[in-house]
Amino acid sequence: MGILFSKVAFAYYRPRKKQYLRYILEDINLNIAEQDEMIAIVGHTGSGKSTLVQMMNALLLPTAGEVTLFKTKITPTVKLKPIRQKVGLVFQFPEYQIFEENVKKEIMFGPKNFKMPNLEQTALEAAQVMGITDLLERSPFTLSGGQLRKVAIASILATNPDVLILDEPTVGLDPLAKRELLDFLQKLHDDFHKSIIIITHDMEVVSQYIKRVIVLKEGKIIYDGSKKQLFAKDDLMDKYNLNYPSTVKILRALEARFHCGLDVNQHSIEAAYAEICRCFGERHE
Amino acid sequence: MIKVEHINFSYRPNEPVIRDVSFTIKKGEFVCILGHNGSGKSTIAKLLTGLLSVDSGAIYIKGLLLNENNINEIRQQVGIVFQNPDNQFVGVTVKDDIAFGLENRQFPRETMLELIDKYSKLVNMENFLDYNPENLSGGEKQRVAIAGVLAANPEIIIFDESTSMLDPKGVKEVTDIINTLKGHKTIIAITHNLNEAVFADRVIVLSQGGVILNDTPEVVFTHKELLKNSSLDILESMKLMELIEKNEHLKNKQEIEAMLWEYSFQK
Repeated sequence: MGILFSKVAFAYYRPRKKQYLRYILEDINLNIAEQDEMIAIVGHTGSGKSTLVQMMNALLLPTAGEVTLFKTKITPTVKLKPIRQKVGLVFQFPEYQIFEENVKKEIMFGPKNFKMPNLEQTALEAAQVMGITDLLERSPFTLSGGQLRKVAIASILATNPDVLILDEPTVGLDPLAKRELLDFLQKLHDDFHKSIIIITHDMEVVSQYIKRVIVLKEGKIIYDGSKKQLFAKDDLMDKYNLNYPSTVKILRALEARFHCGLDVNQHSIEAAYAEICRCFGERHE
Repeated sequence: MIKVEHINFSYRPNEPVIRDVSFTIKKGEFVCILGHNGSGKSTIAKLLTGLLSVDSGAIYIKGLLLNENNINEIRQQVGIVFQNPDNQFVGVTVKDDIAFGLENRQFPRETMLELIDKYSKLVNMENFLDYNPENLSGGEKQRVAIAGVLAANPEIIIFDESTSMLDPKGVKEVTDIINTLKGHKTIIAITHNLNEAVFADRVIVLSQGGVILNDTPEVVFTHKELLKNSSLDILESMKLMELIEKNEHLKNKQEIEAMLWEYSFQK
């Protein structure tokens, strides 16, 4: 049991008026395994995505319903530190929250807080996986946006969480940096069976890396299932406010032109090409 | 309209960020500057608006050499919309925010109201004038920011990754507005999103602080290896074309290729 939500709702409380503001999340039921998940949370701005993930490491407590994280039911009195070590959360624009004087200290901050042994070694290893060992002695002020993003992710990795949640990790990264980061997350998932949860607007990320998609709309989960089924829907744009990934769009355009029975639901260039070959066949002379 | 001649710039000694960059941009042109993280894209925007000054070389805006004496005059000609919608609000309401630039220039009240009306309509935000910008979505915020920039009536507008933080709906709202400005203003869009570059009249590709390509999108995107080697990417449809080109046995091969080409550059 990793992350369990049962009929969860959340609203911010306004102490002066002694009342809750409108519900940001309502009737959320979720079951996320502690291993082997590769999930995207998608949805409109303001649909409650960031609020949802903040409840996943108990930064926010439910207004109603039950959140159970790694077998611990979340209440205002429960000890949160052990849970936070299991669920690592990388905020959107994590580079804004870097505060130590050099990269090594920044990466060591989390492990130190969790009283982990061999701080230097842990920091070095986290830096190695992110490919930033050459930056360890540098001051964060001298780094580029992409480098800072890597530092921030390394500092979460150093605490060795079971579940890693990233809020819009690829925004502002160029295509190469984006691919490197996602390939790396994929590797964490494949080699170490980590559960990875990514908030994203980018359907290319969803189509190329993700297994399970959770769609939020106005604070409710309106879809939770495989990406294949999601992208097979015809009302994706209207009902879910989502785009199709480009491979699906391209194949749809081809199908509209040639009416050749293409299965348009392909999620990589290779798969799309294979489908075109299947359909247009090899010309046998 | 803009002429950049052999400019060089570095933040720290011996680490040049801009190396011998030259280009010109004509009046009314829509130019996209494409480049990887750290390629010097945003630095160029800062140089063009006089937020930074070149180490060597020259920047001419409307024939005027950019220097300390005319910086204020030139800034009136160049508006900039930044990446983060939250970093560019000063007003408590949408109306105040659009008016901010105008207040600085001491326009009379009536003119100000007219301009607020005109530009809030242009970005489809006329029903939000009394809203607090904080309560708007990212796309709405960027539209307000655009209205604020337009109200000051610059001839040149720079969009510095203005859509990169928005959701798909927000991206569409903002790109739609950029497209309506096309032809009326000189537009520079800085991005690493290839799909945005397709809409430009011309694409300038920066890598390691130097210009490596400067041509129409159709020509730029055929330099696949060069783009890939510059930490950029190529359009998904062109990746598919690459595979199809190699296959000699496909039925309707030429038609598929033609269609994909058309698909890539549909505007």
